[in-house]
Amino acid sequence: MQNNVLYCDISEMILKDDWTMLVSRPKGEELRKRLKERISSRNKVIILDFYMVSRIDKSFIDSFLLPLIKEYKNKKDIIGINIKKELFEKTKNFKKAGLEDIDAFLRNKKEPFLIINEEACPYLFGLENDLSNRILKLLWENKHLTFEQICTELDIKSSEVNNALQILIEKKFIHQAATKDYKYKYYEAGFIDQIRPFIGFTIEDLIKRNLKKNIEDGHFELPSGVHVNKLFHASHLIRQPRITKKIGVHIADLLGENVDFVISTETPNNIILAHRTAQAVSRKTKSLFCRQSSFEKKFVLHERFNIDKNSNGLVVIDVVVTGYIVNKILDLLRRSGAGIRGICSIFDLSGGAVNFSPYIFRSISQDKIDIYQKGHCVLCQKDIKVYRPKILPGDWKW
Amino acid sequence: MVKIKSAQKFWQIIVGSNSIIEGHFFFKSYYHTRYIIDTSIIFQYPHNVETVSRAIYKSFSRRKIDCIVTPNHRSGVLLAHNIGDKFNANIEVLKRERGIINIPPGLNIRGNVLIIDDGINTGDSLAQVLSLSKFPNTKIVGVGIFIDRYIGDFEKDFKFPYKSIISVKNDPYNIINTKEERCPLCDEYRKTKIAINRTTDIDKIDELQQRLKGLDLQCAYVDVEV
Repeated sequence: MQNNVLYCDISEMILKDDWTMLVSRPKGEELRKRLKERISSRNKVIILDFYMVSRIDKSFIDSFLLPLIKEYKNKKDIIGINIKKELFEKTKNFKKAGLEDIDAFLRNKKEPFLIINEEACPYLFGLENDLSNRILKLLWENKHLTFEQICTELDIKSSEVNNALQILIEKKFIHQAATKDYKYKYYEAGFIDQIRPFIGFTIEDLIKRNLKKNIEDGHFELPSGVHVNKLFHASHLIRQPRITKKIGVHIADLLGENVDFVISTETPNNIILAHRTAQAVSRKTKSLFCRQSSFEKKFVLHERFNIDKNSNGLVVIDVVVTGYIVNKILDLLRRSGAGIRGICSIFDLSGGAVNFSPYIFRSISQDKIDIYQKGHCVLCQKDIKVYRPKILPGDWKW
Repeated sequence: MVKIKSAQKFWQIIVGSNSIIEGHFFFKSYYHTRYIIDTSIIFQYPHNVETVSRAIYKSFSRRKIDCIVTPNHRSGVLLAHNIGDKFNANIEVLKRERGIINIPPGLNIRGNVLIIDDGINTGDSLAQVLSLSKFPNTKIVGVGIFIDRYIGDFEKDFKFPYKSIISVKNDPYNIINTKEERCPLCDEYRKTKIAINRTTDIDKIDELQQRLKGLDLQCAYVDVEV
């Protein structure tokens, strides 16, 4: 990370209460105190991540955001905020929600500097016309554009575009550059490019970016006895805590209602995934894991964990190919008598063949790979060496 | 004043979740102990992980850290993941195969490294992980540990900056080296012929808790409100 950028996650800073609801005035004041301690003079760009937050109230904005903007108005270049899309739309529509106040406040001072992301695009508040926001969106999608390209894509007079561009250049959101021959001048998204890794990605986007490092080519045998030519593993995704946190929030949004515990297997990837989803669902949810018993082919809970009969569980796993492991976990839950809310996975590689029919099954990204039954594998006939990856939790013995 | 309070609260987390298991255990071939603390039971609740990881983060927060390494794949990983989130650093899990920690040849770790584990008993696995300091372009900044039951003196043995949250010292039943002295537990179990069991009664835990209260439990570098 660059030195002049300060990235703050709101969920880290509030620990005592539930951080998903930012409602009261004292919460906002406490948060502002804690943030002041972190900000130093060398930070030019401040980004606040509200990704975990599901509700924001007007009193919170009055006590936290507006004073913060007033204080750092002239000292800092940019204060960016990362908010969920649904929240953003709500705040746009309702007058009570409070972000309109910020808009009006900034419009009086004629100084735009707030960025709020809408899916994968920054949005400026406090501008009189909407044109510069449209230009920003264009520059966000294509990294650099000439003046004529902008005019043709927007279908607006060149003088109006020029005015909007100059406001953006003054505030250092974009800057002008030229080719080495000085023949062509073009515009670049300067500051915004620095922010790009922190702000405004959907989870599907993030997974696609990291997809190449999560695939290995070769000849593999999975625990269900099936042969496969590609191996997906989510380890590269889960090694990065920022991304895993967002995946956990996404799963909690999909299937998080009335869940008392989250369960998965004992491999490190799945332990972390279950932990992050339990964290996102609520404060009281447990995260449990199970492993294969050494005597039978059943799955067993860890010795001192227990499941209540009246509680509801959510099964979480990184990759589903044939559904062998998930079926065993479902079997365990049926034996214990607990209810099953659903199943969620990051990758679904079956191409829609796996269903787990009475229960709800969701996955974040879908794909299809070639699956061979044991006798009929094409790769075995070519005499390629078989590799057995350690997927079953029994393999990870201490 | 603050230190004692927070030590008690961390101890409440450990005892309140029934994570102390009494019995007769052995770590390596000749080290025996009377009780172990199963941290995976404490960490089934996510907010417990946060309080612990926040306490460890505070003691290293002034350093810049690029990567976090754990030898533990079960509960050490959760701590590392939460601390890595605060430092904006990636994590690396080292697998253990047949008692030996496997450091793969293609491991790409550079810059300042922080090593994190949930507990230290005989210090065997940590000694293996600290061999990472021989790698080019890596510098081990420190070692952060939740429960410290180490037999010897850590700073003399390893010579790395080290911080733990709870340390159990002066406990006669802590860890017994059976080469130097005779283990009383072995005799007990032989006489009564009780099978070595992991299950315990609740009364026994209360007894153990009372006995442990008399010991000096040091709480280091913690000033967090839990």
